[in-house]
Amino acid sequence: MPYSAEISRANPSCILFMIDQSFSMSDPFGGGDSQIKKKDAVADVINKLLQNFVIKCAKDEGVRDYYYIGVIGYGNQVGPAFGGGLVNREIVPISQIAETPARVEERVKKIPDGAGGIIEQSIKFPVWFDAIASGGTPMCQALLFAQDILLGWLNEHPDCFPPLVINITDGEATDGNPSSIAQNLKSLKSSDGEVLLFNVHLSSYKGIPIQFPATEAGLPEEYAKLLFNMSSILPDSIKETAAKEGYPVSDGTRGFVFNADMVALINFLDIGTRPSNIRQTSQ
Amino acid sequence: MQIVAESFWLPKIGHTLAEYEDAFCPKTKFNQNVKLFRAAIADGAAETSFSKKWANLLVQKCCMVNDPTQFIQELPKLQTQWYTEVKNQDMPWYAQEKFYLGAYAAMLALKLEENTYEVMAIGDACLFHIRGEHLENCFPLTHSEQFNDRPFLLSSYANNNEEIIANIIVKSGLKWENGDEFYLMTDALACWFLEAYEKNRRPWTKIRALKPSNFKKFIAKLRRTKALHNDDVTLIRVITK
Repeated sequence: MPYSAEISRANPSCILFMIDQSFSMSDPFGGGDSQIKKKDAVADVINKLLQNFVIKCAKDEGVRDYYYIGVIGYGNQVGPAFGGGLVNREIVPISQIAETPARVEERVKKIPDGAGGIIEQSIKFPVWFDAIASGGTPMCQALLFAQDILLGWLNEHPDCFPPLVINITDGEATDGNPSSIAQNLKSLKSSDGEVLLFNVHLSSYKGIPIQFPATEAGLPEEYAKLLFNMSSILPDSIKETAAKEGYPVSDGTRGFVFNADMVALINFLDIGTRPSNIRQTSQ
Repeated sequence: MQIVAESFWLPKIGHTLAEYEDAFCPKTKFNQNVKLFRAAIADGAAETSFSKKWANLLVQKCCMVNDPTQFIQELPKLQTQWYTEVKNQDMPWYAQEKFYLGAYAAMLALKLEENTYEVMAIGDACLFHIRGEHLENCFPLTHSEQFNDRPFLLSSYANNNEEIIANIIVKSGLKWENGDEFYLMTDALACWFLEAYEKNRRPWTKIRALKPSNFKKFIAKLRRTKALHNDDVTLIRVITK
């Protein structure tokens, strides 16, 4: 059965993020008179995803390298987007991501008090990326860059759970139609299946957030439809887990969200027993 | 009653002995004539942190209490103990986040008295009661298809246990006879056992043949042939005489 390889330190998988840092990301997010810009939404999405992937891999003794992570920025230029101690690194073990945020902020969060109650407490909140909006949207180049990275990764990890590419964008590519390049990227494969491409569409259109749709009906704009069609259909193993997590899924369900985050996806990936009654704390 | 109990355990492939997150009690081989015998296993969830500590607290308590009611009464003390011991550690941001999610474990406890036994279970660790060449009883799961990687487990935070406490599965007053055997197993081995039983392969013959010297080889073969999911493995084999 494809997409069933064990994800472990001996057989890690790879997650590549592509983040749109183009000028169009300075437009308002979600339409209307929103004060939030798309670039802020991108920073929020990527920071939350990185944070939650690290937490997923954290154990008592530290962070286990179940995943290697890359972040490709595209805007003024296309290339590795990490700063600080990770600058110019294409792929980084997740334990290093955990140890090298750009900064750690203090935020208030509701947490258990150990006696059955909830209290508000100041907690550490890591930030890796700040909002950037500059230049065009060379999504095609970014997809080609991702393809190069994954060719190297798959050569070294031929039996891994297939790499996952998560593209966070407003979809307005300025260097051509990315569909065929995306198709080439998705045709790369390990012995366990083809590369998965998921898209997080952050739009200026006012519309209700949509998560993991099965059809393009209801998507309010052409870029949303383009990104939906570029996105991989969820493999059965991920779909089954998504269903257990309470998401309505069907045969055509794709790795695509519109004006929403994709943090839920992290719970769809299996690295071992996850209690059904686990509860995320609110932030 | 004469009880001979022996435990066997191994971490999952790729993990060190220190990363093994199951727990069991008794810790050493037991061979005594007693009026009361207790055994317990717990299986800390892989996606949570500090679950080995939680699993250990649970099995120790299970082997001390008189009945499930007392266990549930004592649970808040265990949760406070876990919270205090973990909270006092110096933690980086990600460990702190994991701490707030809590630890989780499956748990199975057996209490054996003259002629009767009682079982308490939460999650997917299983008890098998064998008489001669028959599986007399299995508990709480009865079919290999019931295993999955999203069980409901006992949490170190009371708020996450509201549905669990109401659904702790207890069976009391079950009968046993001299010569009967009881196997307590965490989920991976229990799933293999039930699959083999469903194929009429009498898996108890394999369990009877286990010794400390051949357990590792036995598990390695099951893993190599994909008959056993790669997970921590724990077995307590209890033989009555």
